[in-house]
Amino acid sequence: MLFNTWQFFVFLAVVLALYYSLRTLPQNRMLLVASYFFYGWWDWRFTSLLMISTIFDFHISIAIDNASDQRRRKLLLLVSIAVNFGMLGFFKYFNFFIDSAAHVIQCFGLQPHPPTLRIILPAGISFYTFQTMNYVIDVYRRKMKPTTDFLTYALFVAYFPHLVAGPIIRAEVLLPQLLHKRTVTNNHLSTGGVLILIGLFKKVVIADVLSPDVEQFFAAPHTFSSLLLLKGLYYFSLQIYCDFSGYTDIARGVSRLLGIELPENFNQPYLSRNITEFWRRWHISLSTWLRDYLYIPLGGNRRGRLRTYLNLLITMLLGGLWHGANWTFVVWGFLHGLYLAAHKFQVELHPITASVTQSRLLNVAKVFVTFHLVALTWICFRAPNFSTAFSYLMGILRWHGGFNVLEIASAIWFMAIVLVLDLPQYFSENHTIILRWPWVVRGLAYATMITLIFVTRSNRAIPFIYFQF
Amino acid sequence: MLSRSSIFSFDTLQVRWKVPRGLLTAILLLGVLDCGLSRADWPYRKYPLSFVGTFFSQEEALRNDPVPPGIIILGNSRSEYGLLAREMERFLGLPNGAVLNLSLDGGDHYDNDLFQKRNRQTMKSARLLIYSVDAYQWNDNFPLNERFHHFAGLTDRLNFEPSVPSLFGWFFRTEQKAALYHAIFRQIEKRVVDASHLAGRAVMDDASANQPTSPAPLGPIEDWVSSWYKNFRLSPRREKLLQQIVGRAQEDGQRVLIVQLPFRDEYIHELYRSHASDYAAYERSIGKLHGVDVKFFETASGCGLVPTDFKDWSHLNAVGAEKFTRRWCDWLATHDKDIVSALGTGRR
Repeated sequence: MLFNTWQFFVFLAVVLALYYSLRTLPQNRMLLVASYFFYGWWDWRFTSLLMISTIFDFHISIAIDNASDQRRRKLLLLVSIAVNFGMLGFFKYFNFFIDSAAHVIQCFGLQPHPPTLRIILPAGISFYTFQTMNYVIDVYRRKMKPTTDFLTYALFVAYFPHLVAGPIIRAEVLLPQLLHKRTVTNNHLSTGGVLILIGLFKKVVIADVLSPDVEQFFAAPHTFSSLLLLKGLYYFSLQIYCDFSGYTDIARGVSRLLGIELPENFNQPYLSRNITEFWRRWHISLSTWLRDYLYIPLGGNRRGRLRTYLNLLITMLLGGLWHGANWTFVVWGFLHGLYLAAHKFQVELHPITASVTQSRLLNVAKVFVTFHLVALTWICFRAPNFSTAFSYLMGILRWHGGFNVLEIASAIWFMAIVLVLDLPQYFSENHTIILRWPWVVRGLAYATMITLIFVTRSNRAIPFIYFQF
Repeated sequence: MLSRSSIFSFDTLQVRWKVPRGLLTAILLLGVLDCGLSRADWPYRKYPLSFVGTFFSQEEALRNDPVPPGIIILGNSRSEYGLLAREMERFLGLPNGAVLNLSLDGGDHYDNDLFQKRNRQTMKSARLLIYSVDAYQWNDNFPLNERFHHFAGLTDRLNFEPSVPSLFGWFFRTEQKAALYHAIFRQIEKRVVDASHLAGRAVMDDASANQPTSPAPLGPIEDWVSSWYKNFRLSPRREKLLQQIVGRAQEDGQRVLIVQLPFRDEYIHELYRSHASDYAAYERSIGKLHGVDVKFFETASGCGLVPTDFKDWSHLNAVGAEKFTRRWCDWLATHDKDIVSALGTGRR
């Protein structure tokens, strides 16, 4: 079920009506049923995979906690990692690895006949696998005690607002909220409602409107002028941001209506002044997961400068692969790893001074450069293959077709809309700052957003980009 | 920790009643917008090229006709472009204004039924109603257009488009006004661009550079045909609308002539290849109409037309329209000789 459909809002209304009239335990049971219903709306067969993953990790985490022998604990952890990543690998990467292996064999002049399976990728598998892994690892590290309440654990995994596209929530954040009584106040309702409205606006009015044009630009980049390709790149940068952060806003808003707080996943990333800051603001739940469960275990920055750079590269490369079974994602991750390593190197050479950080003009320039560096990597992320990515990049670099500012005016217009949304949030560090505006301005803003959502929405709801991950 | 004592409790929601002024302001503004713009006719009168705007401009044409029309043409874009009223008057020797082509772009039975109901009194002068048909007007799965969403009340929506978005659109009309708002945005954009001398020049340069040197390429014929016949299902409700149109015309003493304009030969060949049964069902439906004459043109070559007489697979261009109108008038002069001669001598 998609957040941007009327079916979802009917579903939500029913869930809220039941939720507000039940006690905590029945609330959790109802939410669990609702979450499976929500997930099964795409394809009921996927629910079995979710169920297997839930049952397995629930029991193995208890077994890990009960085991006194460290070797046994480690063995159980490895089994859990193998099973979870095995499922993820099979459903997401099977054909990718088989094809890649076949390609390598072909390079040696052999003609392999690899088996290919028609595997359907279950929605959100990467998200819930990382979430359950995080739980099992935290139990193994004795950072938390496993819950013995199966239904609550099952709800932690399947909780519908974040199930298919995150944020990836730590058990220590969500489980306590599910185990205790919730209350929903005026503040929850108003902030929840505003987050849903902002999320829908980003998704429907910006991401979905830009989507068909982006499709065209990346389908045949060689047919467009450099300026139009640049416009396409800006479009995609805005599309993916508004699509994904829009989803997160809706997820957080819906969850607030249930009195459950989900962590921020985006914090105006395109206003970052450097790439490190960008990753503190973009897909925060994934970047912190990768930091805590990959970068730090690899040694982090504790084993010398070169090893730190290497760890960054490995972490981002795997982060890229997490997104999808395609080498273009790996290269996208690698590029970000390079950026991060280069920035770390630069900071070590020239530590930031207070006078520099206070220069407004310099900060704007830094934001501009960081945005364009990130935007360039989106080419790899969006292009279906390397030849398209290369053609797109070269189409921009080998400038042709002149410069007519009107051709790019629409991109500037969309950027301005995003800035109008982001700047007040950025300066106030409050995603629902709109609630503090005078009521007339607030009313005007709501009415404008609602009108634009209805007017620009397409007849067929466009799925969120991150559902495929 | 979790309590197992009972199921129901209403203490999750702890809300203090406060007037949500921002929300109320938004609702008020949305109401003003919906009633003042989305439900109103005036924006379309200012934008006559839109689907709804065309409807109003055809009503204007009917009201401002210098003489009461003797022959009225209703239909869709194929008859709008393919039957030239002034040429018909010339070929048939009728006075200026005797033939009125009130075809609507994308016109379906709903539009024509509505048009006839709203203008019946003015249309009563006509002796002959020529009604141009195409199979999509019968197809239940062919979406109704913007005019339906502008004019349809709850009963019509329940009858013809009983979907949740359509019913919601009756309540909040803004929901279905994408085309109107896009047109307004384009107008604003144009004014902003025109206001800048530099930008204005750039636009003019662009427009001249982008002038097509050859006609736009047509898509594959299979796609074209299937776009009209997609999921074809004969609609009894739409069929009934045509019966009502015919019935009203006959009550007003009009002879009704159902006509299908010619297509390019490739279209007809593809139609018989891929949708022969649907086409036959549509023909059978027309056959059920009482007291009407039917004239089906099919292939272009059968009417002495060539592919260059068409601007796409099914719409005649100016040259083709003139050729076809002449041929059509020859047929009409023989078939409806009495009416034509009566109109020519001024008898109604």
